Amino acid sequence: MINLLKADFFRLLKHKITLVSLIIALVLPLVMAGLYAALRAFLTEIGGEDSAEVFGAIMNGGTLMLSSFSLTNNLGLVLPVFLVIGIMSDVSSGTIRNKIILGYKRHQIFASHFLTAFVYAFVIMSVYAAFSALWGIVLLGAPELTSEGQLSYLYYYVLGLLGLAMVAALASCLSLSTLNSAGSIIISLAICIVIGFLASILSSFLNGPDIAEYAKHIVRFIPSYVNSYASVGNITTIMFLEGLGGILIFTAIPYFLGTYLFSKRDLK
Amino acid sequence: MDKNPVFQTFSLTKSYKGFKAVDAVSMNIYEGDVYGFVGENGAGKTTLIRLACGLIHETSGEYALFGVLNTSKEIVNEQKKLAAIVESVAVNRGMSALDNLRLQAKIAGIEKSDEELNKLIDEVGLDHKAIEKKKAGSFSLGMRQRLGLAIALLSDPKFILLDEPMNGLDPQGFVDMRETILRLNKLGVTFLISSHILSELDKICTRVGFLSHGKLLTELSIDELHDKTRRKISIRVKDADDVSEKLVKNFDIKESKVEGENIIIYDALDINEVMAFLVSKKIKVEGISSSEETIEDFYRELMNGEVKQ
Repeated sequence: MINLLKADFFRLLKHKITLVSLIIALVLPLVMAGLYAALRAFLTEIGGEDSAEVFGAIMNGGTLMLSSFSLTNNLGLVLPVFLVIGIMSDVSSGTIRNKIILGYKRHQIFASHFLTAFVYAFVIMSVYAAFSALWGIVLLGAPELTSEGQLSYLYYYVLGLLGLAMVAALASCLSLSTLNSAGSIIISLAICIVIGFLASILSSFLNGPDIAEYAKHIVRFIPSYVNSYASVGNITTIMFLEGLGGILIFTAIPYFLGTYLFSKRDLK
Repeated sequence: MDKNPVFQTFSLTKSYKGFKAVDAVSMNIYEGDVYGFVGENGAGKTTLIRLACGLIHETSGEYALFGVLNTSKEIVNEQKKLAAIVESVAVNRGMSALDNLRLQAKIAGIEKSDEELNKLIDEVGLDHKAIEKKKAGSFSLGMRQRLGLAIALLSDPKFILLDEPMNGLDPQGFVDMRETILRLNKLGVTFLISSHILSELDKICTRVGFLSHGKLLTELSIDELHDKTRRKISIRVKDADDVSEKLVKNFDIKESKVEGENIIIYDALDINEVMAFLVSKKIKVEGISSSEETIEDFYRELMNGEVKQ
């Protein structure tokens, strides 16, 4: 298994998408922060300092970082594409055959692809989030954080990174069960977008006092819901745990389904 | 047979939606064999190789590698002695030849220095210095075949399966591939090779299996095959049936056939003696020739069901 991981990391490091995604992760935060800074300058010009203050409260280094893990936003939107391309390079080159010929079981190959995809996504998104925070603070200013807010940021960060496991499992499942790049990209994107929008919409609607408590608890199991909530209010420990449970469930489903389907799959 | 079996199949069958790509094939490949697979397109050669590699799942039947059944957990250890080039060469086109070998070394869990890997690149006929900066995607088909062979040889396999290894090779490539196979075979490596190029198989194989429509028609040692591809005499006369009877009677011919005005005799007869006999009987001979039957002829006749097995 360790040999497979070494091989998959080596293959991914040599692949163009690693360099491309790293460049995006480094450059896009500067572009986004620059655009928001320009927008703030424009609002200041037409609406005076009050508008700029309102804008600053909404968009700063903290909120820019918060938006970086969204599945429907910026890098989050193209991440499933990169993951599928990375996994499918093993299939299209035929090197996956060499693994099977050498006696590796399909569940080991699947696990190695999942872990490689997760670590790759983890690194890329960490860089993206860190630079979003950095350029956001430099160009838009730092958020005013209470101790509760700091904990909320930490929860957000952990959930955001662990949520990538779900994306990695989904990309692995679709790639290795269908062995079709285009189909896997389209379906994984569609699923991520639906989950992202669902989480975003629900987080806006399910905050009122008249919403039943059990409904609030249930929806927190939807991946990225809790992270979407971060733009509305602070993430509490119970919300964090429920969000974590949701990530585990939604990672386990494609992981085990993908392992099963791939184990039945014939390879050309 | 004293030799140990390397690969055996027991009524191995692979079906795709009712179509039997491999139909109850039972065969044996022994240590030291260079076993050639011959068959038309779609005969099941590649499917059988894929089954042996574990790339596809059998519908029924079993196979054994080095005496261990595929249903046993121990098969994993035996598969490590295996290497294969199946249809298209498994080469990462975005990587250099050296990186491809580094990748394969990591998969196999083998520690090899760059010097050793470069030596392997040179051994298969690629100049490692000339291709150092090139990606495998820019290689010709023949170069990729050679790189595929280097990848296959990396883990010092005991059994190598090659699916159409001569594809895309130039004449020098043919010679190099043949010499590599024969050199490794002398070192104890067993081969299973599928190819359309029968003359090449004739030069390297110790045994040959003929597949058609998923069924194994016959297995022959190369000596048996040479016996079957023997000399024949063709005679063109007006009353072929009558003349054929006379010839069979006079020369005690064991096997002959009549095709229109042609009599074909499978025997090592002296053509001058036959001609003298025909002249003495005042038979007008319109044409006579003597030839060796090639493996291609034998293969064609086998596929047409004309050869008694």
